[in-house]
Amino acid sequence: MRAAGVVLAMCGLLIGALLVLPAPVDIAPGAQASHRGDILCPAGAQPTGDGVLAPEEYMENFFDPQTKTLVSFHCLEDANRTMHVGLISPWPGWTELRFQATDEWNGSYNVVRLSMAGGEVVALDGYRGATTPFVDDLTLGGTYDVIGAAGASGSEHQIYEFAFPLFSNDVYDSRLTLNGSFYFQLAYATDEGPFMESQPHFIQIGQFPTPGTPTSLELTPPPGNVALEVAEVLVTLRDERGQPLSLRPVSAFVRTTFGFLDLGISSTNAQGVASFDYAPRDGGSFLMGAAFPGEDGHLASVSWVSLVVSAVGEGLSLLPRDLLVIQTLIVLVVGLVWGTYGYSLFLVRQALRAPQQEGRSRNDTEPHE
Amino acid sequence: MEAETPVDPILVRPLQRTTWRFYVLCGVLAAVVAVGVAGYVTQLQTGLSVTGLNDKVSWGLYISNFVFFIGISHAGTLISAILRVSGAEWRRPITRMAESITVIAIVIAAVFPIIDLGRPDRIANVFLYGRIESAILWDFVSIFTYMTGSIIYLSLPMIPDAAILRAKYRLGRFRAFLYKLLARRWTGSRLQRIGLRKAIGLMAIIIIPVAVSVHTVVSWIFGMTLRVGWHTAIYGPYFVVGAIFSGIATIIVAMAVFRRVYHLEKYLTLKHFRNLGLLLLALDIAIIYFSLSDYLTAAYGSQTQDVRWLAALSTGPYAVLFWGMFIGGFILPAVLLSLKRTRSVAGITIAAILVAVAMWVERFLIVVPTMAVPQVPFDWGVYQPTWVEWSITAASVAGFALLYAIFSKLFPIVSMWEVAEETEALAEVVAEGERVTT
Repeated sequence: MRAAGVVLAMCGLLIGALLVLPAPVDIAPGAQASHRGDILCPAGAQPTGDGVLAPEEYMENFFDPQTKTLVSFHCLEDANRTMHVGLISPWPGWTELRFQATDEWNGSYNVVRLSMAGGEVVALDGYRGATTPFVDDLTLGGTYDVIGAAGASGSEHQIYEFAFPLFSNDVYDSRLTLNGSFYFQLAYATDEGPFMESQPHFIQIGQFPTPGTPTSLELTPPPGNVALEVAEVLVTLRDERGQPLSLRPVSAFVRTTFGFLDLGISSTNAQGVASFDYAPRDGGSFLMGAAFPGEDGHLASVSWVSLVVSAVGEGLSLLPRDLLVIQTLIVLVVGLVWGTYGYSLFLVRQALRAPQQEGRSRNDTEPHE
Repeated sequence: MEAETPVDPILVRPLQRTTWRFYVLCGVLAAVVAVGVAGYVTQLQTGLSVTGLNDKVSWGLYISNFVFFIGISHAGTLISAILRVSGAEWRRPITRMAESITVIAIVIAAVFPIIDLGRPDRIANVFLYGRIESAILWDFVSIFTYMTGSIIYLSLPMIPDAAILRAKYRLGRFRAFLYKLLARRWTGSRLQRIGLRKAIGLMAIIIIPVAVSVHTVVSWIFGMTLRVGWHTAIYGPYFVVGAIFSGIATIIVAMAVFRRVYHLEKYLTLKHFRNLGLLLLALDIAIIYFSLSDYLTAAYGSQTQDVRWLAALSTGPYAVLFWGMFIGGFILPAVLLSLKRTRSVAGITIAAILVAVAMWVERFLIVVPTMAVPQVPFDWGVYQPTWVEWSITAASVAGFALLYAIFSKLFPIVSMWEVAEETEALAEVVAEGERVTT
C-alpha cells in the first residue's frame, strides 16, 4: 500500500505541475490583421464632408467583415497630415473608428465616436487606454480634433464623413510621423452595452501609392419573398465605368436577431453577377448587405437593402406553428422517462425498507481481508 | 442473507490484490490525462485559436470524439438492457462491464461539447436562451437523461454485490463507505430481491428507447443541417447502428483485457466472445449496407457538392482514412468474424479493435470533410488538428481507460450475485432432471 501511495502522490504532483506550468509550446494568436494596403496622401483636392461618398472622393477604402462597416480614407499632405474618413455603417447606435500611430498594437488608441441624432451627426473625440474605458479628450484636458463631421441617415445604413489630424498636438491623439504607419479598428455599440470590435488592421502610408479605382455593388432582392422559401438574391459588381467585373469574390449577409448571418462568398460571373440563396425562417423586414472586399487596384464597395419577407401562409408549414403542441409532447415523453427513473428508485427504496426475512445478520460471518 | 451467497474468490481477487503494474498503468494514464488538461488550460487561456478549427471547419476532433464516445456508451444498453429484457442468460458475466462502459463513456462524451465551445461559461446559454427548435437543446436533454438513467441502471444491480462485499470482506475504509452507501439495508430477502428485479426490469425497458433517442438526436445535429453529406434521413438509424456496433467492439476489447489480467477465463468464455462476435458481424453488415446506401445515393444524384464531397473522401485528402476505414475496419473484421478458423478469442478481439478504430475514423470522416467542402464556389476549408486537440483526444481515451481501471478496483467487474443466481438456477435444473430420472 505504501508503494501505491507513493505512485498516487507522484501522479498528483505531475498533474499539479502540468496545470501550473505554462504550455509547452508557445501559441501564436490565430487571427491577425489581414489588410495591408497603401493610403494615398495627394496634395490638392480633398473630400467634401457632405454625407455623400462619391466615387473617387476617397483613394483607399477597406471593408471590415466583422463589423460590416466600409471605411474610406484620404490623407492630405498638410502640416497636420489630415486624414479624411468616410464610413458606411449598418449600426444605428455608436460607431467607432479607433486608430493608433505606434509600431505595436497595444490597445491604447484615439477614438472618434459617431452617431446620428435628429438628422445631425454627433461626433466625439476621445481616448481609450488598454485598461481604461472611453473618455472624452476635453474631459481629459485635451483638445477636440474632429474636423467637419457630417453624415446622412438612411433606413439601411448611416454615412459619416469627418477628418482628423494624424499628427496632433493633443497628447490624447495620435502623432503619426511622415510616411509612418498606423493601426485602426472599427467597433459598434450593441444593444446589450459593450462594443463589438473588429480585428486591428494595419495601414502603411506610401509615398507613391497607386490610387484605387472605385467599384459599385447593386443588390437586388427578389420580390414576393415568403418565410421558409428560398430567396435568390443577386448582386452585381461594376467598375467605375459601369462595366461588370467578373470572377471577383462578393460576400452577402443578413441581419438576424442574433447578429449578421453570413450567406457566404460567391464569385461573380461574366456579367458581374453573384447569387446567394437565403431561406428566412420568419416574416418581417431583414437588413441585407453585400460587399466586395476590393482587390487588384479595385476599391471595396458595399450595398444595403431591406429584404421584405411575408410570414408563411396558413397550411404551408409542415410542422405546427404553435410550439405548444410540440412542447407538450416533449415534456410528456421526457416526463415519462424521468417518472420511470423515479419509480424504479422508489421501488428499490421500498425494497430496502422491507422487513428483513430469511436473513442472518451480516455480522454472522467473519470478513476476509 | 447476502453473507450466504456463494462468491467465487476469483471475482473478488482484483479488489483484494493490486500489483505494481496497475499503479504504473494508472500513472501513465494519469500523465496522459494531465497533458490533455494542460492542453485544455492553454485553450482556455488563449482561445480556440490554438486549435485547427476555423471559420469553415468549425467542428473537428472534439465533435468527432463526442460522437464516438456517445456511440460506445450504447454498449451497456445493448448488452445489458436488451439481453436482459430478452432473457439471454449468457449475458450475466458481462453486464457490469457493459453498464460501466456506458456511464464512463457518456460522462467523457458530455465534456466534449463544452470543450468545443471554447468558452465553457457559454454552456449557460443553453438554459438562458435555449430554443425548443434547436437540435442542440434536444441533445442536451437526451444526453442528460441518458446519463442519469445509465447511472441508475449501473447502480441498481450493484446493490447486492455491495452488500456481499460489505458483509464478507474488509477492503479499506473508502470502499467500505461506498458499499455501505450503496447497500444500505440490503439483506437479500425475497421481498428485496423482487423489488430490485422489478426496478432493474423497468430501467432496462426504459433505457433502450432513451439510448436510441440519444444517438438519433446526435445524428440530427448533423442531419437537420442543410449540408452535403449530412442532410439525409438515413442518419438516425445509421448513427444508432454505428453506436451499438462500436459499443460491442469496445466491450469485446474490455472483456479480452479483463479476461487476461484478472484471469476471468472461467466466466468470459469463448461462447461469450462468439455470441458478441456474431452480433458484431450482423452490425458490421448493417453498417456496410448503410454506408453503401448513403454514398451510392449521393454519387448517383451527382450534385456538384456531393461529387466534391465524395471525391474528397474517395480520391482526395481523406482517401487513406476512408479506404482504411472501409476495408480495414468494416470488410476485414467481417471476414475475421465469418471464418470459423478466426472466430477465436484472439481473432474476435482483433476484429473488435479494428472496428473500434474504424468507428472513430468514421466519426471524423462524418464531421470534417463535410465542413471542408465549400457550400459556395469558393475556397475549401482546411483543418489540421493541433497538439492541443490531439492531447485532449488522447486524454479522453486515457481518462476512459483510467476510470474503467479504477472502477474495476472498486467493484467486481463481473456481477457476483447475477453469476451466483445463474449457477443456482443451473443446479436446480440439474437436480430436477435427476429427480425426474430416478
